[in-house]
Amino acid sequence: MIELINVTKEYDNGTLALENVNLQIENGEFVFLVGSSGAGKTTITKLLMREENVTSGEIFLNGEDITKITEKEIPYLRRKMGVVFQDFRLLNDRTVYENVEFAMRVVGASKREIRRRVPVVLNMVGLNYKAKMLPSELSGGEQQRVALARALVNNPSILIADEPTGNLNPKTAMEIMEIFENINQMGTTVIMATHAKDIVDIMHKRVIEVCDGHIVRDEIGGEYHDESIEN
Amino acid sequence: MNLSKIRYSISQAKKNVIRNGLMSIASLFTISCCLFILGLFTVITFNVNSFTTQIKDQCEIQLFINLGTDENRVSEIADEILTYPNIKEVVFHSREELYEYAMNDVFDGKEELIGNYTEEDNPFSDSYKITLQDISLTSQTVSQLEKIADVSHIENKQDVTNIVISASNAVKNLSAVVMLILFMISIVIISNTVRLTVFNRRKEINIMKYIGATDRFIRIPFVIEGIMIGFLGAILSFALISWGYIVIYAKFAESSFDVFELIPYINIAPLLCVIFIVFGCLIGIIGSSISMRKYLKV
Repeated sequence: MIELINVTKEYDNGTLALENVNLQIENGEFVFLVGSSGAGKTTITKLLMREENVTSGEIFLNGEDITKITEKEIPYLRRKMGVVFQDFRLLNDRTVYENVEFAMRVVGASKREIRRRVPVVLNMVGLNYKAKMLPSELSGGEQQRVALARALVNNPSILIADEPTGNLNPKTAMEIMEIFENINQMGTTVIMATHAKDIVDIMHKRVIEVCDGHIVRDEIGGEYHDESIEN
Repeated sequence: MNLSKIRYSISQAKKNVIRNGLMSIASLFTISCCLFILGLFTVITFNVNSFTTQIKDQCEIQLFINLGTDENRVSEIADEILTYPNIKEVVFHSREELYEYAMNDVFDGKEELIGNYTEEDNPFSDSYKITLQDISLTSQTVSQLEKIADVSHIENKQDVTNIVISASNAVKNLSAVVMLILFMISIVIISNTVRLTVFNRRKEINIMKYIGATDRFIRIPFVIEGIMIGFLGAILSFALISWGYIVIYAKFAESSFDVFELIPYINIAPLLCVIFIVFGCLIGIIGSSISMRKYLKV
């Protein structure tokens, strides 16, 4: 379970990104973080990955306060999570297989484990037949699938996605969302910051709306309906 | 760190060196030049140390006994000398030996310079060559020995020795300063090369951080890259210095200059090799570690 207790985050430049935020996410949930740009969605994902630390408050991940962990412990925290970005962040000089393999190498997996696991994950995202291709030879949707495969390959318990469909056309975006849905059904917690109204509305998952650093709505099976956000 | 990670780090380091081909070669030659000068000063320091030791080993004074002192008294003087501190060795030189040495070795062929002296009319007196334990206490020891009865005078070369030792110390200090400066220059050079690699691969480093790579895992390929360049630079400069030293040593041996001897190459080579490799690798480690800091903060 993820639990944020009275979390406040103020950046060095004085921007108050989050103020006294309280939030609970159960294991295996699918959560959309919605809100206008600068509302605080990305700050929540950054705090979860300990890319930033809280100014005050506590964040518990399965009972451990991750605001208190040392710099050296951060990589081990991140190994429990997979992360997907809007801009894919793939290594363009490496093949699809090597991009996914890279994530396993980083955590010290053996060659045997890599040979066994990478094809499975590529199959899961429907890219096993493109394993030898370079990212530049793939469409945007396919590149995001590679990023997803890389995020999943180490079996994370939480998948954090920041605008994963932002660069994709609606059809491709829906295909990617299907993969997220499948991953979630296998028990992985999915936390997705997004502006994609269509997707949020169709998926009918838990929607947490952030506005000016506060949670203003937390709705199970919600929609992306707030007029102020849409504008 | 397991074997698979080590293999990965080494392969990545090799790729980095090749990818940055020109920059790596430029760094390699610059570092070789720095290490060459560094090695030059090391060799000079070694030889200056050796020369100083030779001088110190010749820490001798000559004590002359009044002409006409009988043999028994001459022997007693030796016993008296040995009662003083700072005396390492006492060797007797009879006046006959000195005469013979002067006639055969010093004035051979130029006997007219010694005048009308004959063996019976030997102008030399008996003397003791005394080796001291500590050269810095020469003055005190000389004043003590001068008080012994029947001692005519004492000759010592302390002034010359002091000048030589001061000069050696100056050379050693200068070498240390030059070595330190060159060491720092080499670190800056290697650090810039690695910085370029790190900059080119900042995206990869960023991804690695998000995936959960430890700082050590990210840093090691770059450190190995630095070590590779430093090590190759060390080998290159060691080869150059060795070749130069062997040539100079041979020239020195052929010449009639015999004030001091150069240390034979075989005696200097192992230590020099270790110094080069340690310095080369150290420069690589420090240089690359400096470059990494900025990009590890994600």
